[in-house]
Amino acid sequence: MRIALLGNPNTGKTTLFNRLTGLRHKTSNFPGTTQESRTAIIDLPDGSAAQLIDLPGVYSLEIDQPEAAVCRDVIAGNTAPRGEIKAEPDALLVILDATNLGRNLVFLAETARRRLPTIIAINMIDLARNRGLHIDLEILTERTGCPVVPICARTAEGLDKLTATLPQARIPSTTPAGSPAAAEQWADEITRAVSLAPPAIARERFTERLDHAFTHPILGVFAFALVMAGLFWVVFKFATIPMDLIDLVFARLANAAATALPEGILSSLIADGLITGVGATLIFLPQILLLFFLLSLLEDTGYLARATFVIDRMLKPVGLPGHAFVPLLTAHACALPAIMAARAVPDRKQRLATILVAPFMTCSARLPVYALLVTVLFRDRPLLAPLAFVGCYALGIAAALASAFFFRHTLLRSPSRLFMLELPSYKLPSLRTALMTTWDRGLVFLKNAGTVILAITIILWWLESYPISTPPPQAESLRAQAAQIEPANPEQATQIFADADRIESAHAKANSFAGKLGHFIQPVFEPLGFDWRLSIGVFTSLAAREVFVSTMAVVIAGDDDTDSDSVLNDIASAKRDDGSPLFDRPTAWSLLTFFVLAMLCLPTLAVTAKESGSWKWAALQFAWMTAVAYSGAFLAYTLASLTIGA
Amino acid sequence: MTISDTTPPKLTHREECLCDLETGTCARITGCRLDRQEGDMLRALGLRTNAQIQITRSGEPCIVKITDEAGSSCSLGISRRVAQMVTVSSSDD
Repeated sequence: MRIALLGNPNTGKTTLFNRLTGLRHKTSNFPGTTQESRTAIIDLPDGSAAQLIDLPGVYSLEIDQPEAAVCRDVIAGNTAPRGEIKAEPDALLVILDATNLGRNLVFLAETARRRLPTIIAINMIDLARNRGLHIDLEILTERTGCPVVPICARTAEGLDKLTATLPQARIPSTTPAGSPAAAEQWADEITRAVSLAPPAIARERFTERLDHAFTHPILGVFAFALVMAGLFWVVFKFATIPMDLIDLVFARLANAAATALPEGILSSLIADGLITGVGATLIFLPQILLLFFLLSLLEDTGYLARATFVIDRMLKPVGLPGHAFVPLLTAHACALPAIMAARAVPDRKQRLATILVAPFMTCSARLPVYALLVTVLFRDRPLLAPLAFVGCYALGIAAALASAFFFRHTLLRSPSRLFMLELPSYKLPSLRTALMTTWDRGLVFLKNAGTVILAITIILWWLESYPISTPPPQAESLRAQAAQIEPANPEQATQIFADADRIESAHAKANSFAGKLGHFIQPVFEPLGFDWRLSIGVFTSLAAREVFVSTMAVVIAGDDDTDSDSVLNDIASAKRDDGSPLFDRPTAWSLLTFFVLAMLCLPTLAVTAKESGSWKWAALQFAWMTAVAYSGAFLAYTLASLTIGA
Repeated sequence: MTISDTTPPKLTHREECLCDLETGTCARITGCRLDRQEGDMLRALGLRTNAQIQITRSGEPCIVKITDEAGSSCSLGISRRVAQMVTVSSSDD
């Protein structure tokens, strides 16, 4: 038995699906769309099993929107989630919001026209009770001809009865005529017959007061800033512990692999390529999970809709809708989930614009680079360092908004979709739904990490590790010297051996394919003040931005311990081939600007291609961000050279 | 119009634009001049002819409370451009 789960947005459809299926569901897409589908097999009390398909939440089956088209096609048997056989569902489970029955019954009228066996679940019955709202279920059953089950998906109230009722689905006894007006009339008549709400009660006035504050042009923005500050504080504060743990586990795994395997290509590939590369991406998983968990909780409370309302005013001048704020916010942790979250933007051109500009936001991977460069810039004025950090965040946001404005007035020009948004009732969030959403998002991220990111990691490892160069004469001579003094002075010998290793590492990196590419592209970066080592750093950071710091550590200090003060000192005081400081102030400003604005993350490009449906958009994103970063860095370098000098 | 505390409210009905209504005003939707796609969406959200509404926040965007036949309500946020296209018959009651 195949059952399609349908309903308006904000009716608790996802909560119900999660309650009925737990972790057993499968997430995929409907073919040819970016619409996500979730399916699961559930056991029914009579011993049989049913397949439940969660369809996108829609306000109407008849409107011209991709979500509604998917629902229509699934009901008609014209499409099915990827991997499933196309067939008309055996039954429809239609979920209605008990606190807003009038509008939800219009939707039921549309599903009734499909003439499929139907079960009606009246959700949020607890809220309706609290509001003194009476719904006559017997009359509703009689008027529709379908089984009606009152439920509260959040607390699981009524779910046993619902699953027991699923096999008893019935074709609706009455079907409204085809016009929208007929559906509305059918719904109004039933609403009048089955439901009675008391006059506005205190709770409603409380909701209005909350709305008044949260949507106020000034107070609303202040509340939004406060909520977001709290959210990011929690994300950055509590994600640190698991992030450190992941870092430690992957470092140990890499060490164990390097020790266990015979020295050579395979050992290097597994330890330095696969384990280290995947670890460098997975380290952001705790931040991503925590962010999605908190956003899901916020969405469930009803607050996010109010935030969208407030932010719409702010984003409108650049051509983005209020819905874009969640992706842009998420991008401050990592651009990968941010681009996936852009699915919430209903208009395609606005969604593409959101995807294109999201990576301008300062993600966590940029922070180690900022920390290094800000330290170099403000070594003698540490109090200014936090200001520089704030400046970097502000520059990223400004670049994103300016770029959105540009795209929305050129390539992605279209009249903005008119803003109309339901402001759902405030309610206690469902912990279970938040956990399930987090689980789903985590799986998608891991799937990316396990495929595209893994492939990119291997390619970049190869470029950085090959060709294997012979040790430089200076390293050989140091080793010979260390061997001579080792019996008499083992400590000094160890030190000299370490120096030789560092020189050899730096030499190997400089002579690898990545190093040669760095040399090759250096003339391009010359106007920005970058020498060949910085150019190598920029190239290797294509894998992930934070790789820049470890590359600099290896190329300059020959040691990848980026936590070591001496290594950081070596980087800060490094000299160019002509003896001048590598990180003079103009270069440091230029590099900082470049890292704020540049697209230095191949995994992000892969996700952009997937979510936009074409590599063309990923190429445009890379070209645009590179051009903006180059221009910005050139401007920073020129201005800094003219004003503060080296 | 000024209503003194002692005078019973005078019921007046007039056609006007939704965007001109002040916070707290009650009205009934009489028409919508949006194009088909946007109009269908608005209708699906519950803002349809004869719907009983109240403005709970005027401005850009504004918030409209829609009350159904049974007295339950839901709220919508709509932009000024949408509100400009919707006509209402308002009453000062």
